[in-house]
Amino acid sequence: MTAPANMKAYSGKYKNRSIAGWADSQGYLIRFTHEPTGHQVEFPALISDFTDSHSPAFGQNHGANMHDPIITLKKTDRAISFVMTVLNASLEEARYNRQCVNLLIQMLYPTVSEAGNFTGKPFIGVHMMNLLEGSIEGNGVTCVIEGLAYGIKFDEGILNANEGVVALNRSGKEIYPQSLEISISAKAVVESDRAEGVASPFPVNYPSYGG
Amino acid sequence: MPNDDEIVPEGISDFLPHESHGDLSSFDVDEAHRAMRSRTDQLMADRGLTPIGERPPVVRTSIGIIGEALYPPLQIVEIPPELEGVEGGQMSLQFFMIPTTFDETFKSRWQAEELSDGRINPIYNYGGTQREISISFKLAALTVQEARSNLSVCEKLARTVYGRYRRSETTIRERVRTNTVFAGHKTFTVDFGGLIRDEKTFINKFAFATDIDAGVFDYSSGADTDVTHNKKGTVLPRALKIDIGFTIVHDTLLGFGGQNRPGEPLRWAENRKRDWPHGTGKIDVQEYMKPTTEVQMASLPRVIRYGDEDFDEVPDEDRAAALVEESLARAREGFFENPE
Repeated sequence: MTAPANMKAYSGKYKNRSIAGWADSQGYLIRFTHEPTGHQVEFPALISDFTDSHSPAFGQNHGANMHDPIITLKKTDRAISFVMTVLNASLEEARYNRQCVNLLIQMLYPTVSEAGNFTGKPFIGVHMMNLLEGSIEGNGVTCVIEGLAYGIKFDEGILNANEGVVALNRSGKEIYPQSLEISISAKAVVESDRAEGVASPFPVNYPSYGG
Repeated sequence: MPNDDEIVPEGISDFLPHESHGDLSSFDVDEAHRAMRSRTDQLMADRGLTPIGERPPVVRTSIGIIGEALYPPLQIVEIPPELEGVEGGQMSLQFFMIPTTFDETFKSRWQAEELSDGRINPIYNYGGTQREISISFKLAALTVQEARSNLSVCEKLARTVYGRYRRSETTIRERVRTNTVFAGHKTFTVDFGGLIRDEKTFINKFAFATDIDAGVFDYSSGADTDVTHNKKGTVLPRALKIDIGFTIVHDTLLGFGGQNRPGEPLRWAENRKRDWPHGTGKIDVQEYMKPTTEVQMASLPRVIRYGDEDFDEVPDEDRAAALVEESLARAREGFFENPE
């Protein structure tokens, strides 16, 4: 049986001209783990619009002769969204990054039994430096990714496998953006830690932002 | 080692004049048209579709070349209807354009089952992941002919989002009545380089806008020239902006493991030597994507029905014993859960 894939950020021949080199030296990396299979993929954390919102949901009852409602907390949801930019500085990096992005997209799919039934739900662990680190083991935050948008703006430039206008792109097939935006919106599965003597089911350092 | 998905259709440029062809004065446009048509017909035949004998749109000798130099062609071929008598199945388009945006979304269907108040997490149920693609692009024209050709492309694309119909005739009291019956949406095979690779789709939106700021080709009496036309009251825009959306219907099982990967739950289910969803050209696929040997499923027992040639054939004792032995052998191989 094959081992789980573990695709690190690009470290090939053109690493010195890639953002991956800087990201690696600084530890600015984002890692996704497909929990049913253990496949992992890592990208330079070129992140914009990061939002981590904790939203309580209250029930309200209004009594007679009362101005203010009686409030009951029902639950607190945690939603995470961010936009990740994948930059390609060479054709080699573009091909490798596409394989990484392919794996990230594949992580939205479950494991399937031989009879064709969905077995392992596609929960995805997201680790983004200290911002999404997880409170217990530091392996990231388990998420339910509801939507992944893959957007190319061609105006920002492309790489293709041929020599452009001079030779005409007769290969016709290969086309890579220099800049690819991946937007992710997810709900976090909140960790619980039933330590002895502690009433709260949350880990003591939940949520942890490295502060 | 390249992926096996990079079977490359050659583009229009092979049939267009270019300095590498040498003497440009000898370039024959009609010959280029024929060669391109032949190539498109061959592509359709390769996909099991009936080639259409129509002449291709005007060879785009200007903007089209720039599009082709940088981008792959967008190819949309209608899949013929399965039901007899349904109109359609003839649309085939392959053209070069200048794409502006490519947006692809993967939406997972999760349902959260809320239980009691204060429960930390709901129970999440997963229902599947849906894939949609939206492309915006420009069709630009340097000549009147090209502008007409671009409008012709828009006409064809606009027709893709309408349904199919069939006509049925019923006779009531010796009077024949013709009914038009709706036969569902059209389906297409779409290809756009490594980003969309021969996917079965239906088209969920089409919109086009004229880019008036880019100008139009004006009327002038006499014959058409490259920059004037002879039909008063006709607007031929120099640039069109197009938005088109596809919902992908996958033919293969998606996920990890599955029936094509027995004993290999970590490998991608498709079991084909190609990356998914996007092509990666001339590099080898990752280990978990590599093909493994498929287990051939045993054929299911055949049910003999009334009317079959061998319906009343009684096998002799030896033949019956051989059939029983054959069934047991298959059962022992583990193809049936309950061999008895």
